[in-house]
Amino acid sequence: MGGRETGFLRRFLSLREGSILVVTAAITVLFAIFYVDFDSPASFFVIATTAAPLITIGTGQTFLLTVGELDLSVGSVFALAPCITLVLYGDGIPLPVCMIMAILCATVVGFTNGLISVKLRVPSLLTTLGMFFLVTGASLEISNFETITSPHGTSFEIAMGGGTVGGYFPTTLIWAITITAVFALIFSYTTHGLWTTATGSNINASLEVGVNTTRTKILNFMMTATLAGFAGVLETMRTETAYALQGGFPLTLQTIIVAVIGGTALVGGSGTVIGTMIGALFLGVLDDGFAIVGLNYNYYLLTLGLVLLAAVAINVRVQTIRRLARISREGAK
Amino acid sequence: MNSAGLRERLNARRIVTSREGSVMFMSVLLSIVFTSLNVNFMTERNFVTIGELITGNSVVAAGQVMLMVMGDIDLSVGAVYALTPYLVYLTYTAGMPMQIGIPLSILAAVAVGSANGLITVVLRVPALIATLGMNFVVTATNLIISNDYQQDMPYQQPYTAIFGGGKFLGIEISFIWTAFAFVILAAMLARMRHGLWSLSTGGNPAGAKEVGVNVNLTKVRNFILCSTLAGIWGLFAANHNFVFGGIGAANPLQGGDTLVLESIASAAIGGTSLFGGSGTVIGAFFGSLLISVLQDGLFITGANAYSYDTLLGIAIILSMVLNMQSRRRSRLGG
Repeated sequence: MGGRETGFLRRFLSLREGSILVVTAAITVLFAIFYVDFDSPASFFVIATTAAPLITIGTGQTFLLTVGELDLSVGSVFALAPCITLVLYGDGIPLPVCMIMAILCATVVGFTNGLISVKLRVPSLLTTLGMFFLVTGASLEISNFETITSPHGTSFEIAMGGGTVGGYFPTTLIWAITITAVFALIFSYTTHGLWTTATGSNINASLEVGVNTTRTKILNFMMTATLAGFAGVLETMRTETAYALQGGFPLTLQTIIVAVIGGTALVGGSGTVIGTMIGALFLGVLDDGFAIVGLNYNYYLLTLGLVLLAAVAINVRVQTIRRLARISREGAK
Repeated sequence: MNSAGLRERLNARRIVTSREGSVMFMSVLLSIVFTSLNVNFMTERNFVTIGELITGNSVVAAGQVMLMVMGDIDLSVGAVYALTPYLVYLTYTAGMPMQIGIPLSILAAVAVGSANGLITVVLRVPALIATLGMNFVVTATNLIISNDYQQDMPYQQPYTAIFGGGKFLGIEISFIWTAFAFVILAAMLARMRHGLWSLSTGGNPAGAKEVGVNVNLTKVRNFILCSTLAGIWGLFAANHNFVFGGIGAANPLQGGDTLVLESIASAAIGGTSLFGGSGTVIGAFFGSLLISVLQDGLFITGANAYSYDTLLGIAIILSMVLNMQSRRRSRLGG
C-alpha cells in the first residue's frame, strides 16, 4: 500500500505541468481571497498583458531548450522587429508589408544564430549573447535612440495586438493562446516535434536513425527568433510605441524562466508548451498580485530568483526520478 | 632549453598568431586607428581612463575564466559587484568601523559564491541557471536594502585608500591590485594544483574523479573565488572617485548585467571557451584590454555611442568561432 502511495506521488511529480499548475492555482486563489481588487477585469488585463509576450516567446524557447540549446538574444529581437516595422512604415510602406519584412529580419537573426551554433559549433549561450549585443546596437542605430510611435485604431491594428476584445481581453493574449495551441500540436504530433525531442535526448542515436539534427536545431533557432520578433510587433501595437531597449535582458531571462518552471528540462530531451504557458501565467499572477498587495517590483524580482532556483532544483530531481523509473521499468521487462 | 627552442618561442610570427598575441595585436591596431582619428587618444590622461576600464572588468573576467575552464559560468557577478559597497555603507552607518565592515561585506560575497557552488554541486542545477537565479536574488536584495537610492561611500583612512580610493607611488592603487591579482591567478591556473584540478575537472570530470581530483570541492572553490573577486573589485569601483578628491558612491545598480556580459566577453575574446578543459587568465586581460580600447576609442572619437554594442557582439561571436576552429585544429593535431 505504501508502494502505491509513492507511486501516485511519483506519477504526479512526473506529470511535467503538474507542479506549476498546482502552484499557480494556489497563488491565484490566495490572492483572490485576501485581496478583492485581484478578482477584477482590470487585474485580469494586467496579468494577460504581462503573460502574453512571455507565452509567445517562451513557446520558442521551449523547443530550443528541448533540443538542447537556448537563445539569449530574444530580448533584443523583441525590440528590433518593431523598430524596423515603424521605421519602414515612416517611409510610406503599408503596415502589413512592414510587419512581414521586420519579422523576416527576425527569422534571419535566428538563422544566423543557428548557423553559428550548429555549423561552427559555438555554444549557443555565447553565440546568442554576442547576437544580443549586435542586435541591440542595430536597433539603436535604426531607431536613432528615439521612441517611435505606432499607428493605431484600424481593425488590422487592433487585431495585431493594438486593442482588446470586450475591453479587458487583449488581442496579444489571443495570439499567445493560438500560438500555444498550434505549437503544442506541432510538438506532440509532427515529425519536427519528435525530432526536436529525439535530438535533445540523444543526439548520436538520433543521427544514427536518420534524424536531421542540424536542420532540426537551426529550424528551432529560426522559430524562436521569429516568435520573438512577432511578440515584439504585437507588444508595440499594444503600447503604441517602439523603443530600441524594450524587452532586453530581463525579458530574455523571463522567457527561459517560464519554460523551466513549466517543466521543460534544461538539459534537453523533454519539454512542454502547455507548461510554459502556465509558467507565464504564474509570472503574470505574481507580478499583478504583488502590485495589488503593495510590494514593489524589487520583491517581484527577489521572488522570481527564488522561484527559479526552487523550480530548477525540483526539475533536476524530477528528471532523476523519471530516469530511475524508466530504468526500473526496463529492468522489470 | 636549446637555442632552437628559444628561437622558436621568440619567433615573431608565432607570437602574433598565438591567442593572446593576436588579441594584443588587434588592440595595438585599434589604438593606431583611434590615434589617427583623434590626437587625444595617445595621452597620459586617456591611458589612465583605459586603465580604469580594464580594472573595472578584467579581474572579474579572470574569475570567470576559472569557472569557464570547468564548463561553468557565473551570471551573478554584476549583482555582487554592487552588494559589497552597499554593505560597507550600511555597516558604517550602523556604527561599525571599516575594518569590520569591509571583511563583513567580502564575507557576503563569499557566501553568495558558496551558495552558487553548493546549488550547482549538491542540487546539480546547471551553473547558468543557478547563478541566473542568484543574480535576481542579489540584485533585488541590493534594491530592497538600499530602497532604490544611491548613497555616498563612507571615508575612513587607510581603508578607503587601500580599497581603491587612493594612489600608491603615483599610481591608482586599484591598478596595482589588478596587476597583482593577474600574477596570482595566472600562476594558480598554470602552475598550481588547484589550476590543474580545475582544468581536469572541465576536461574530463569522470576521469579527474578517478585519479583523485576532488571535483566538487574544486567547483565550489572556483565559484567562491569568482564571487569574491567581483565583491572586492566592486569596492574598488565604488571608492574610485576618492582618488581624485571626489566622493565615492554605493550604487545598488553598479556593475549589473553589463559587467556580467563584459566579463564573459573578455574571457571569450581572450581564448577561453565554454567547453571546459582549456583557458587562459592572461587572455582575459588582453580581452578586457581590447574591449576597453574599443569603448574608450569610440567615445573619444565621438563615434556613434551605440556602435560599441554592435562591435562587442561581433567581437564575441568572431572570437568564439576562432576558438572553435583552433580547437578543432588542435584536436586533429595540425
